[in-house]
Amino acid sequence: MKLYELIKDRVKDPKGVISDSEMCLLNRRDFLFSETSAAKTFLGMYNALGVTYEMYSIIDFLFTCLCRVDSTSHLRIFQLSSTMTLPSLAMSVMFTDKVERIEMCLARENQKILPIDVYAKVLAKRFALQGDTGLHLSDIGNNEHAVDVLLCNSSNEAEVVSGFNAFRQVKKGLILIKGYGKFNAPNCGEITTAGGMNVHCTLAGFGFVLALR
Amino acid sequence: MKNKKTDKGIEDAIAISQQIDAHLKSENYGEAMIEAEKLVSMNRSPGLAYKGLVHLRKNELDFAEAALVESYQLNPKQHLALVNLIPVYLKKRDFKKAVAFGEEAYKIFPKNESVAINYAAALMQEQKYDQSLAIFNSLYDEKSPKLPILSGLISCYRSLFQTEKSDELLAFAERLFPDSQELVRLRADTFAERDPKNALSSFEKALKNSSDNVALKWNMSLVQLRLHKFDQGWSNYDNGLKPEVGKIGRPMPTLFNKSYMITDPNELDPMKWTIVVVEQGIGDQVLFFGCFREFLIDYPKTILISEKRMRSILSRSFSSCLLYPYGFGPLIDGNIRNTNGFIPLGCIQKKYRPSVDSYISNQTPYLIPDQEKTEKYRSKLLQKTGNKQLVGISWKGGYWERAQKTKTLELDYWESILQLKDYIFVSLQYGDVEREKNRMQGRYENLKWIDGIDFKADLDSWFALACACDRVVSVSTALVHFVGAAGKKVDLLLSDRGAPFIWGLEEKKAIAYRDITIHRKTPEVTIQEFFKSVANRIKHETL
Repeated sequence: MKLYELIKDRVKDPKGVISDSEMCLLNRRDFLFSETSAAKTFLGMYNALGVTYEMYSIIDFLFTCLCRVDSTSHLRIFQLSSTMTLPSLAMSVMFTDKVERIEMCLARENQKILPIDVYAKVLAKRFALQGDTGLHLSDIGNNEHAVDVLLCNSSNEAEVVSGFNAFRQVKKGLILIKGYGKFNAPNCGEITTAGGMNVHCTLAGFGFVLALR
Repeated sequence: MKNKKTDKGIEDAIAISQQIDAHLKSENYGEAMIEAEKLVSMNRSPGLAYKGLVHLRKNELDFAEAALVESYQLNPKQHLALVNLIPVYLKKRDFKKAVAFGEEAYKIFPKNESVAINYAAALMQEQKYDQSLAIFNSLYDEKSPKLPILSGLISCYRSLFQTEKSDELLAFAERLFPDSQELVRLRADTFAERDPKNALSSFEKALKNSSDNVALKWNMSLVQLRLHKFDQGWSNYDNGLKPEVGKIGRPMPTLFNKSYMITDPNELDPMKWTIVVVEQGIGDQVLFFGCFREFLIDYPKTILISEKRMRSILSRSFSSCLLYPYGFGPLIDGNIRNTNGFIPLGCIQKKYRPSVDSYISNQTPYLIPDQEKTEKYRSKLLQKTGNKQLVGISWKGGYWERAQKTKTLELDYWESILQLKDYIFVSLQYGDVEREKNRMQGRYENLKWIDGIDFKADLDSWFALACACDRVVSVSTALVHFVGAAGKKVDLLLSDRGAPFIWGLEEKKAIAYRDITIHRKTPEVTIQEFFKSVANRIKHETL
């Protein structure tokens, strides 16, 4: 609540506040921090309740986009950045037994995962094994029946460029870029325009494009 | 020319409506639907209203709702849609909506009997008994009484504790309609608390003719449990999980609605993870935790889903168990291969508490308060009050209005107890107590009110404060379960209007906890005499 703490003496009795060090929304309810939030429950399982508001929002957004997958779905996660370890793990925890098949192409060096208990550890181990199924970045978009999810971070321009380029082939799925709205972060306007993509940038900070073909 | 065309259209629509009415009368729903579709293409709003009505008659409630809502949205004067939305929502057990549409319809058609009955039934479900009673009374004709109106009146009087009137009407109705199954059910419900043995035979009789009546089985389970027929009671108790029973049953948190539920603990694979979900009502929750340690021995891979305010107490009391928040609900399906799905906490009772003996042989305390806080509160209170005996008190209980009326014994009646000078009485009453606080101002120096702890939100501090007392005197409320489960001494005060099943019928000691003495008020003694006798017992007992 850093930003709100700076301004709280100047605002009159807001009915709800969403705030971190970069943004402050007044008169907005925040469902992400309630005890019914699946995103918060997941983050709690991995000792990660202190992550940014953007990360809470990313995980919740991924749950939202994929909440209707079922036992006929084939889900493929392409994690381009090691900073997107938590979102990849979140999808593994959320969807593994819900879909027919889940595959992961994880970044070369994943961030350290800190399971809070035995059960969270079991799921973390399963996640690590899912990254070993032979799925490669070159597979993006090559299976029209699969739902492809691409996760990148705007801090690495090359990663975003290759992500957008690859996403042009995707029939069903989404690309999510952490920090897309940050000042000086690459927006890759030429590539997205050429690919007929409109990147929606959220107030939480990430951008995304959906493929619904 | 144009007018002639319009007139012809209206005439055609009326003719089709008449045909639909005729088909509905002869229960020819297929033909009625064909005609309704024709009407939809001519005039959408009335057509949809008829379509909705056909679906309603066929008990296709989702389709009925969709058609009727659209019809009403297209034309707010589409009364056919409006009046039929009430039974749709009654059947869907969405009573708030049934009341909302009922209110609208009743304003327009106050003399329409079916509108009035449906509206009154919805009001009753929302526990607005006075309003419901007024409507049923306005419809009641003593010379030619109708069963639905009599049933409504009996239920209202029973809910308002006007037992004489409900008994009188029930006997009258039974003479008029001796074969009515509805009256057998009503008799069972009417006597469920007052005369459970009589009620049980009525339930059994009613179930002979409608063995799949979930609501009946749910009500019967509470009677069976009250009579300590735990074996059958716990099995029927699971009917409270079904949507037909609704919110007065055992509704699970909605986040778990889509997940796989197991109700028989014997079906759980101990090698897999088991998710146990707590139930609404923290009193029942604490009672059900009575066998949780035994469960954890059999199923060590257990994840307990609980509300935030219970977490510190539960993690202290059941340290071997993982504790997750409600947000885990949507994650279950993604992990169904390594879990058993979820089991509601109430469902594990059938395995571990099938008899009175199983309760009595397991009366060891199982809830652990925060010792540091307990000692801090105790020494502070003793310091302030001159080292007298501390007695925690609570006089209000129940969540539902009817339960509140059953359980509550207003503080004004507590005079005989509060006059015991050797004790300091600590209010442990949750919720708004300002009214009582103001009324008691200056009347009893030994009655203490604790500021700075939110008894509803900060359960851990409330529990510690209760455990800081030497004993607790309370009506049937969550407090009794908490301190009972901690092994503290409790005097439980029960009114003569009924009590939760676990307190049984005549026992003087609770079966589920080590040290709860039950004081039952009977209709033969006045409330003042009752409190005087409790005060005498406290006075003459060595703590």
